Amino acid sequence: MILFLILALLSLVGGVLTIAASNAIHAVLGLVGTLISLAMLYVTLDAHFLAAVQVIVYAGAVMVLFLFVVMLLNAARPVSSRDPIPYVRELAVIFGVLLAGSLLLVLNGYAPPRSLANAASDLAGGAPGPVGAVLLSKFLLPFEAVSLLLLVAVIGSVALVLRPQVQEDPAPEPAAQPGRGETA
Amino acid sequence: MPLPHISVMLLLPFIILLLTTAACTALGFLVHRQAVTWTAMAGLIITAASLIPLWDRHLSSFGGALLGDPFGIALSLVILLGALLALLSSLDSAKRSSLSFPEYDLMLLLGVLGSVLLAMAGNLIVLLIGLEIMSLSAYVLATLQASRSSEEAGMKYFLLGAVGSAVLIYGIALVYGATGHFGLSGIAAALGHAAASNLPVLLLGTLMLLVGFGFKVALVPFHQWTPDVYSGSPTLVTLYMSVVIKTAAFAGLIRVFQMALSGVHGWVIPAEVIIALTLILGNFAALREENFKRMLAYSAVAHSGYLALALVAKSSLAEPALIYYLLTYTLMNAGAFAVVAVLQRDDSGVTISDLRGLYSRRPGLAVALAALLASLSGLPPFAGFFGKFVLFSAALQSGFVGLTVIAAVTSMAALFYYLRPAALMFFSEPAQTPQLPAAPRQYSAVAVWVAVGGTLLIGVLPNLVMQLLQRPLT
Repeated sequence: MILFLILALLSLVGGVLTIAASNAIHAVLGLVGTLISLAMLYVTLDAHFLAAVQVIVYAGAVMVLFLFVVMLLNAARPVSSRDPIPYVRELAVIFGVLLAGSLLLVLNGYAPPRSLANAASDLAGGAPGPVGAVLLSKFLLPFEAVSLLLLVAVIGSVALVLRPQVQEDPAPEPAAQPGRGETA
Repeated sequence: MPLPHISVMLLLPFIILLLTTAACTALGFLVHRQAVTWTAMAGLIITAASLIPLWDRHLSSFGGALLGDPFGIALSLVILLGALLALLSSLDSAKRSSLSFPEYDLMLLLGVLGSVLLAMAGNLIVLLIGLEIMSLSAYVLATLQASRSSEEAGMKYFLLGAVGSAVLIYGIALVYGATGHFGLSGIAAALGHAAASNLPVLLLGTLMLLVGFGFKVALVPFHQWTPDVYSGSPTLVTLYMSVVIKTAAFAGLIRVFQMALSGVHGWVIPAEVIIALTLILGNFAALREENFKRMLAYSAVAHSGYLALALVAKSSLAEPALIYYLLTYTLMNAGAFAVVAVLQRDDSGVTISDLRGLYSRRPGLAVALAALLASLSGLPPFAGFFGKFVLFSAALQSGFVGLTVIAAVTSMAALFYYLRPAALMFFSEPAQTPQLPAAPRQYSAVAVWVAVGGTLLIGVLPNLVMQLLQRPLT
């Protein structure tokens, strides 16, 4: 329980740092902190494979890419321009506290709908096997659909970066006659 | 773990859409963009044809993750119709909006794929992925034009849409935590014997789902992106977003709330407040707008309010009314935006004073636009009237008297902003504005007249559609 609280607090601190830091590098490092503490949370839940993937893919590969982009674009300078919506920070704090409070209240009497003992045996000690079996049986359709989601993301980003060339209409038709009463 | 049962018949529409997308990708390198558009349109028609034999068979696939019930099929057909009208009017208007490249058709097709997946989703994960495919392609489409306003619109849409998705995912997680199920029927079944201590978690998750979907369908106070994005995006993209995205998002919203969460207590009153605010704010904000595209954006918000009446009404009444209204809405909104795309000089759209005396210059377009506006405002004999009638009576018969009164009163106010441009077109001298663009517009004209004919046909003979919907839909 204490371990959970420490890790949860760490991931929260990382998350707040990510959105509050004015320097992009600090924000990325905050996100790394969140992702790694999440990975450790997975370890405490016996989901070892998931934890490894989380560290390798998210905290490792994705975050390195983030850092590369931040440095390549020279985006590491602190943001100093005026905030276009000055009151949003206060509003966010108020709503965040309200949400956290209601979550605490709501989760007070929470009882898991399925017993945790079964879940532990299903996990088989966090091996990759059960994850793969579930992905290709129970979650087959979402698994396939996510590949389409990635396809959309790839095509979309390529189309936005390499602005496609506007094509002329094949046979330019004679301009339509101006309608009645229209002054040319 | 055994492989789930997979029904190929039910997957066929998706396979056809995917093959069309692949064909369009390849053709984009070889032939002119218009040929790609024709291919895409043919693909959409074949997809629609493959959906029709599934109508009464209530197929389900992947262990209930994909549902081929009449509700999903009907809304998928509406989505395909909206996309077809968007592609048809893009055949001539895309060049003037600098969108004449195959990437436009490709992103649109992928968006349609996500929308159909969303309309047929039987569990929350598939629903979320469908929604994300649809939203991602819409963000890209909104940004696709190389102009400042388009980039700004796309960025706004992306940021606010991402927040909406995040809230939605949070809601899905809480609902799963409370019930232990992702499947819609599983959640509904688990509500009966959920531990009483989990009900607050369930309610919080339900409210977050409402907020997340509220972002996507533009319910007040989550509508703020709508006027900016609708007016900043290229008009053709606005056409697509206002019909296809709205239909699909409503399909998801109604599916989740009517099929899975109708047994949860406590969300109806917040939903009523949101609907009432949407009706009031959407209609009254539209009164002040001088830009026709922004006016139509607020009108889209107001229509979200009417459509959301189906959220609280009894499902047996709400679902047919929703499908009928979304069909009507697709026809009339696609038609109205297609007219704007023809008339506009650039993608900031037309102002209402630009429409002065349109009848003396473009009599055909003026008559068509007037008919579409009359339908949007809910005047008989157009389909907008009967659509409002069935939606309002569904809400009334379910006991929501106050909401129905608000809806009726605000739709009276809406008459003013819809009919003012119509009156200006006919009874006013042409404005001293530069000439409207004289460009080829035969395809847009076909799209507009299909829309007008459709609203008139199902407005005069509503039973053509309603008869088909008199059966268990989900």
